[in-house]
Amino acid sequence: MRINIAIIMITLGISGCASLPGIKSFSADTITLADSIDQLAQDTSASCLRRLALDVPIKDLSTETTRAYNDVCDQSKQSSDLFIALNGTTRAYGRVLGQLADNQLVSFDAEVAASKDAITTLNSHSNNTLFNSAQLNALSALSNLLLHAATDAYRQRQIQQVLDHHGDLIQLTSILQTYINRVYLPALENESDNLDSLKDILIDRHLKSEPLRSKELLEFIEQQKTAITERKNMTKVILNAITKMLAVHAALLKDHQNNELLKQLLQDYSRQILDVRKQIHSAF
Amino acid sequence: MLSNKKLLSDQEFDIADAMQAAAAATLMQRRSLKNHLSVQEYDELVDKETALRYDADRYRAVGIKLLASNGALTVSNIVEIIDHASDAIRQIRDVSRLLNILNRLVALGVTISSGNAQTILTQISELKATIKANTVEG
Repeated sequence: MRINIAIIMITLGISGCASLPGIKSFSADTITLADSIDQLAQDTSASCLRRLALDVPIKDLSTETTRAYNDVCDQSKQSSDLFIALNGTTRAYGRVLGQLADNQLVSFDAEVAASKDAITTLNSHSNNTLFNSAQLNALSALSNLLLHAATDAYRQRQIQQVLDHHGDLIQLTSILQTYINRVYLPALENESDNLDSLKDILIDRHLKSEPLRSKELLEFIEQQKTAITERKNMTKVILNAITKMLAVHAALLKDHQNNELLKQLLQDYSRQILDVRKQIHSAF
Repeated sequence: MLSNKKLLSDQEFDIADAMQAAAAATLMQRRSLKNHLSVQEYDELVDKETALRYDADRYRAVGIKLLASNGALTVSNIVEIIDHASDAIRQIRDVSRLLNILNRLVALGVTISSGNAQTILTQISELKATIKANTVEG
């Protein structure tokens, strides 16, 4: 019996520590959260293009005006692409924690490199003022940590070093919240108001002369309004998930073994992520 | 003395929000006045509202960089004047007066994107004067 125990202990010593289920769960949920935030960002520039696609025929925009507004939508796309690159750090952070929880070596993550490139672009771009230097510095620190985790062969014993970057994660979440609250939601509001405006124009100006086409467009506008309401609801669920993600991380920082409080927070976070999945499915 | 001054993110978002609110006010007035508008006036109100909406998108996408004189131009100045214009748009019942203000506001929107503080200051003064001349107290 003693020999068997010794063999088990030696085996554990060779293969590493036991997996950390709490961190594994946090990792999987955070990757899903990052994926859902990417979808919001993609929808920001899509919202601009949806608006333009209806503005052109209903407001009878000239070619020159259409080109100018299309340029604005292109700028919106470039901005959301940069944000998606920054958000890659959220997903990479989740992935690295999952690998460390299993005591695996951390693989090199192309998303971290892309995020670092995005930070460089934002810092050098003369017009960028979307995110402040404290936010970008923290994101840079987090990206460097994830790169070190790969190059310095971090294992489970270094997991606390990663969790210690809670302050940087707070800044990262502030970037996510800033984008969602001050870019995505206002873009949806702009689109929704514009749909009301287009509806009025169709009724005031086109319904009598082109009844069939106008009715089709009015029906389409109603569908778009419903879709926007669903996207706004989904966004609230995602914002709640971000808050819960930070709460779980703060608990993991204190004690990443499975205590009761941590279990509750993890369950709450997982339920929220399940809701995010449902809402995303419904909204897109 | 002029110096490069970047706006903080929250501030430029405030300017974008103010522009979007001005677009909403323009829509509200078009609805309210539609029975008294000529085709040309209706179209002009649509054009101005649309321009304000895309200005808001532009500010949120690329931010705003001002070449600002110390203290002479602040974000609060810009937000205040846009809000002031929105208030006037909500109150005015005369469409030609409404369009006078909207023309100035749309011109200011373009200049904000250019970041030229001196021109922005000039246009803010002109917009203020136009609001004063076209509202009840004017």
